[in-house]
Amino acid sequence: MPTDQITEFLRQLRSGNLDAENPAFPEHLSAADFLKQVRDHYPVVFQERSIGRKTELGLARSLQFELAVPGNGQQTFPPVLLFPVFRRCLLISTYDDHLSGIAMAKSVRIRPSKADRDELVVTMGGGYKLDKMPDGWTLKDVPRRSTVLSEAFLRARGWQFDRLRPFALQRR
Amino acid sequence: MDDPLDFIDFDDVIQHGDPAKWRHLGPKTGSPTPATSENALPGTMKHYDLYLDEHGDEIELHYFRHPDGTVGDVKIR
Repeated sequence: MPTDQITEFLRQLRSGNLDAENPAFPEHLSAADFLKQVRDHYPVVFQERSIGRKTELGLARSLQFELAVPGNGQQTFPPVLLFPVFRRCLLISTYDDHLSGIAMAKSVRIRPSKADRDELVVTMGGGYKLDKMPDGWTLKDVPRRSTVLSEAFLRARGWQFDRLRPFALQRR
Repeated sequence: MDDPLDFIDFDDVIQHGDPAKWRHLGPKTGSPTPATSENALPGTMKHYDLYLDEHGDEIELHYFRHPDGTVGDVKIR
């Protein structure tokens, strides 16, 4: 599948205006081919899991860090926290070699919960999701939303915590 | 046999919270029904289950159950 068709498909998904006749529409695609190509454009892998016949992949175009100063910020030399922000994200699910869902979000953020040290707040920026429902493909809005999840849960779901270190090499 | 809650897409986990904290309300009326798509293995059933998510919102979980007990295309509507 030519790269420009994949690029056009992703552009349409980002705008929430998909053309079902596009040859790159997922019904026509091998999941393996699609993943191979999007990994070139979205090189940061932040989530990856296989279970049964399903594979999930969370990809981002880039990883940035935002500075946060805990407390009231009145100290002369305050400690600074770095919170990772994955920009321009794709969350893809496949079963066997067919695509099952593609969500595109402006960002995915993760930070520690203030209430519980073992829990993390994951925030997904707004976007769109193309989902293969039992009755066919649907495109839906994905609102900005935060949820609190345990680190153990996230690890079990394939969250790549080693990618969160500010100076870690980003591997594919 | 696969538990469909283990197969929730990660973006749906962010939207609806930890599936282990959802409350099962039971199958939707008429569920399950035989899958009729041309690609479906004979004996595959289409399930529609109702849950309250972690935020208290009612959601529908859609999935296929194959004859060998595996699930496919687990989705939230």
